[in-house]
Amino acid sequence: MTARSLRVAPYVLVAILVAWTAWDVARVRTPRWDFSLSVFLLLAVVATVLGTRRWGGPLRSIGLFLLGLTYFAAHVVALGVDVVPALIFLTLAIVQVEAVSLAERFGPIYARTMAPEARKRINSALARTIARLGVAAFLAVIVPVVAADLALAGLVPATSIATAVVFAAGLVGVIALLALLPAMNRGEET
Amino acid sequence: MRTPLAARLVGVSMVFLFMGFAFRSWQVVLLAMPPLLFLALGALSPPARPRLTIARSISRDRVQAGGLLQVELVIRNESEGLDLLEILDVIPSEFSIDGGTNYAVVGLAPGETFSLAYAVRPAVKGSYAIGPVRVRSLDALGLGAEDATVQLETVVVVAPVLEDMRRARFAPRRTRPWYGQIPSKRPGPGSEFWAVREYTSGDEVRRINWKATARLGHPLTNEYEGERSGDVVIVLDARKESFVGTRTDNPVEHGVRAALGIADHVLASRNRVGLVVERNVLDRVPLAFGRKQLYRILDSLVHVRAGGEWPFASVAWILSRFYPSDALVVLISPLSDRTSLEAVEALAARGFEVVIVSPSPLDIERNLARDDEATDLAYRVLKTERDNLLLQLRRVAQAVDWDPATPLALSLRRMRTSMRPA
Repeated sequence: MTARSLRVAPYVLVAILVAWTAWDVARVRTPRWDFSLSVFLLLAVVATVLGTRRWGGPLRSIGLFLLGLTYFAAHVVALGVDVVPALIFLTLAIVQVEAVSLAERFGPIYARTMAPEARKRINSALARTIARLGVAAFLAVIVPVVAADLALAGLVPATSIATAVVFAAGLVGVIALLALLPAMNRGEET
Repeated sequence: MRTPLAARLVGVSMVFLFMGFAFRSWQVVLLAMPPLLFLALGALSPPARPRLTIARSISRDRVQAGGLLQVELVIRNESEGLDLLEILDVIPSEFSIDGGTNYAVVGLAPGETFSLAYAVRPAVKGSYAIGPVRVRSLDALGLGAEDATVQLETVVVVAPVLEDMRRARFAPRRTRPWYGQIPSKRPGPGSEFWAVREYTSGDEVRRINWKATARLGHPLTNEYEGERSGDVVIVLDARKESFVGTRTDNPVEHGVRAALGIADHVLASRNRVGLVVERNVLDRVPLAFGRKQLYRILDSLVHVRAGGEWPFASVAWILSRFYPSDALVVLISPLSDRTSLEAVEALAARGFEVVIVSPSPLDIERNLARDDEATDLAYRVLKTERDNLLLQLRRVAQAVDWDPATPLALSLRRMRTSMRPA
């Protein structure tokens, strides 16, 4: 049961993303863009389907990238960016990638027989990981929404050039810190 | 170390950030946040570098190919808490998992232990090492990892399957002076009646033939046919060109099985057995008796892998140099090259009695090929060529065409006169 759920979860998530993108692409009425976006969507679906094959690892990533590109292109060029659905879409895409990684990590274990004690420990590790993924997904949607609300409500003035530059510098700094953190930890250990 | 997923999240975040500023859209800038949040949550609890004490125990260190071997791995965490620890006990590719798992993902508190148990089934004989143990400590979202390898290796010797040779009749025709189980066509210690002769002083009383003595009026003694032992040298052709088929189904593997079966059978009837293996090197086990010799031969056969490009005739040289010429030479070869005929003729010319056991490469290859008309035609042409070669070999030696799918004992029983007792 767990093995099957792990195996099926990434496909369900990608199916949701494809359906969602297809729905949005269908809403695009601009003659110049609807054909291009449909082609992109088709390419994304083909790459995603081929990516399910054993040899299709890179295609899976390309498929998801094309799907995201189609969705955001549709919104940027025609439909307009609606923050909350876009955040949910993006978070869902990240969760899908995490689900693939979970399925690859835990799937082979559940396909085999093992002692009840070992199974219990592995179940507990899986449950912990899924719970953290859920919390991360929840926060990934809520925190930007709250941040946007704060900015729009004027609690944090974010409409000046200076604020934008500070905000961008802050984001780049956080990214750099996150990227360098493991190397810094290693340096401390040695 | 960051995983590729973390790098992708950083990339996505940067793309949204720059696109947001390029299009002057705060909504797009906001989309840079979810990947960053995932990264931040992952970075809250960076994976600890795993320091583990690992002990591996196995049910036995020698196992027959196809047999079951139980492995247990006990892992103790000597570092700080490991939130998510991937453990992989590396097994050789020739082993297949048959119950349990050699891979697990668990969390380990400081000082906590975890036990991983599994059973493996080796497919091919050889000497293998189970291990090392590879571990990877991951953060909560699998975005950062710390790898470590614990160099713990356990050697397992996988012996070839022993052929059931109980029904085979196989013994050297020429005997040596020491006692054995082969009727020697000479009077001596034995159990089969041979002749009656005049009583001589020192003869055992129980050997006196009382009926003949009473009839002829002077004492006569029964004589028995002496049972002696002989020498058998097994020559295994494991050259590169003898390898046809798969890792488990090829003439070399079947040849090893046959060599071990014949050695066991011949040693059990108190004969001396020696071994020559033509592979990358020319291996040689001198003639000797007994169970110890079987283990010596087994140890030599365990390491046999197809290789080397020796001329077949080099066997004749090594046999005449190191083994007595009245030994029975059992040549196990798929006879893949035409020079085998000259080599066997050379052996016969040097006085060796030769028996050829040939695991048929054609049958092995045919089982792997598609079943169509062209394959069938090719098989028949090659089969005719092989039959022709065997026919020529039978002028100077006994040759058994052995389909490895059938028991060797059955093929040996079909062998004609040369295997009759002396």
